[in-house]
Amino acid sequence: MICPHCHKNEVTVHYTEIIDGKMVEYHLCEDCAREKGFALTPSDAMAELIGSLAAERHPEGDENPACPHCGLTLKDIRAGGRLGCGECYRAFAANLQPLLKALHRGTRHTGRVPASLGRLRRPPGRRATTSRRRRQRKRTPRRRSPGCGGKYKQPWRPKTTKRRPNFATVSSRFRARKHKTGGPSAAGAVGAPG
Amino acid sequence: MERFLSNIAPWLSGDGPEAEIVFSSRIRLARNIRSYNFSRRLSRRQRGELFDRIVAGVRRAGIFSDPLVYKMEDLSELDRRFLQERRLISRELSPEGQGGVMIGGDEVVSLMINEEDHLRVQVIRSGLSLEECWDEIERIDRRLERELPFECAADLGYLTACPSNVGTGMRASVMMHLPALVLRRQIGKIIQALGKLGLAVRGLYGEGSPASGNIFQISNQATLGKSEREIIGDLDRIIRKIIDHERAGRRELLDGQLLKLEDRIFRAQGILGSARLISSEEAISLLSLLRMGVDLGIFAEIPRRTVNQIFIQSQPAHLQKLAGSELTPEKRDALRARLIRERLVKTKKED
Repeated sequence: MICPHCHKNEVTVHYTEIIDGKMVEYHLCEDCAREKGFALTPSDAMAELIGSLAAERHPEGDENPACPHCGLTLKDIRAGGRLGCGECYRAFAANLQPLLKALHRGTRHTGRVPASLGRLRRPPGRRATTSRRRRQRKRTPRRRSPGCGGKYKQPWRPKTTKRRPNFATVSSRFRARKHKTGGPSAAGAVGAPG
Repeated sequence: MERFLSNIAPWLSGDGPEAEIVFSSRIRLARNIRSYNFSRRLSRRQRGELFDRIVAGVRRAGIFSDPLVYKMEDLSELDRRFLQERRLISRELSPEGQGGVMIGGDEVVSLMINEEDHLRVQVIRSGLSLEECWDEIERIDRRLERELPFECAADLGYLTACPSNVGTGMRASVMMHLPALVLRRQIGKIIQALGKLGLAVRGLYGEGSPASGNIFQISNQATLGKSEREIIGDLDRIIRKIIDHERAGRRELLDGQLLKLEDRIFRAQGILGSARLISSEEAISLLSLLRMGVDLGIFAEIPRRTVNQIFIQSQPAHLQKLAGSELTPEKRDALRARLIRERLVKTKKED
């Protein structure tokens, strides 16, 4: 196909634009496309966007900060739209934050990670595992424990809660002793849940 | 490389779920090796070293039984274009950047080395099969990470040269044939809506390529903040909506404008069956109509995979590989016309 604009060169640039829900296609040769100001290589448009978004702030007052690992500067990012190494993400974190917000659906990764990292990683805002004590504390309001004179704050537990013996508090130990003499029916209430 | 010529690329086999509208599903992952700069900021020597290290790692991981390994600097321009047309490599994979590729024998899995990122793994399958693609690529990723230390941060996930890939490093895309939406002029609105949903729409050969042949590639834009399965689930749901629209559009065309539609489809068949010179743009838009005729049952005798195969074999690099030499555009147009004629006649005779 010959360029419909200059009628000389072969068409190499295809560009589709949507105006008011209607699709308009342009087919141009490279020279005419450049003249009309189209971003030519496929990554040009993205690079441009990244360049413009990544360059808005200079957090430390440094005009052109550089990555300590690969030496890439903010100016380089602005020009090329690409980072130089993994460390760049930390070095330019303040500049990248608004860009990541604009490009993505959040600023925190929630997908898979290598198994080696997975062992260390916890979901945001949560502990690796929730302990029994922690779960219990969430469920029950905090109260002064009557058994220790209010000195140590122990979670108040309703008397009917089944508990394992190793979770003994002063009062439960007391009750456990009572159950020993209290007969088999009462012991069932204290023993480990089935 | 010649063995690919007789192969039907798996994404063109014309089977799999929703194959009458969805050509193929593809998922790729971007990965970088820890303690190396990203590809563009490596020296020639380092890139060479990295290439060998990755090839050795991939072999140890045992992903392919018998991979084909090519360095871009060893391939001719024509061979590179040929691999691009088969969607096994990207245009960015260059000989100057010591780029290379490892391809599984069935062309389902391919692995680009020293592209913008150190490693780009892709799985491509026929029909709407994002889930299957993900299961397969996750299995590959799990094997690779045992052999190669990937750069990954706890908060930002996999780190990539372009911030638009950071996080999952995953791009899932579905290639669809939407002639009814184009004929009924609804496609513009749909593309607009997809943009608002954070999805990108591209032509047959990715960024910057034309949406010829009514073929569209729809992919996720965001890679951070959602897990891989969430991204895939969302994309799958939207694709199914588009499929419903396309089906409804086809029904409307059949009900309301059957004669007009048949006229266009039969004319397309007529030109394809008798042209002596045909450009790739013309061929692809006529093949799109022919393909719709096949899907609507107008040409029951032509299998879908034959039309799909003509789609790819009529591309410039494929034609030249078939001819065994470089051809001028005019000779290409003549060869393309002959190939299409012969293939369509052959199908009729087989019946």
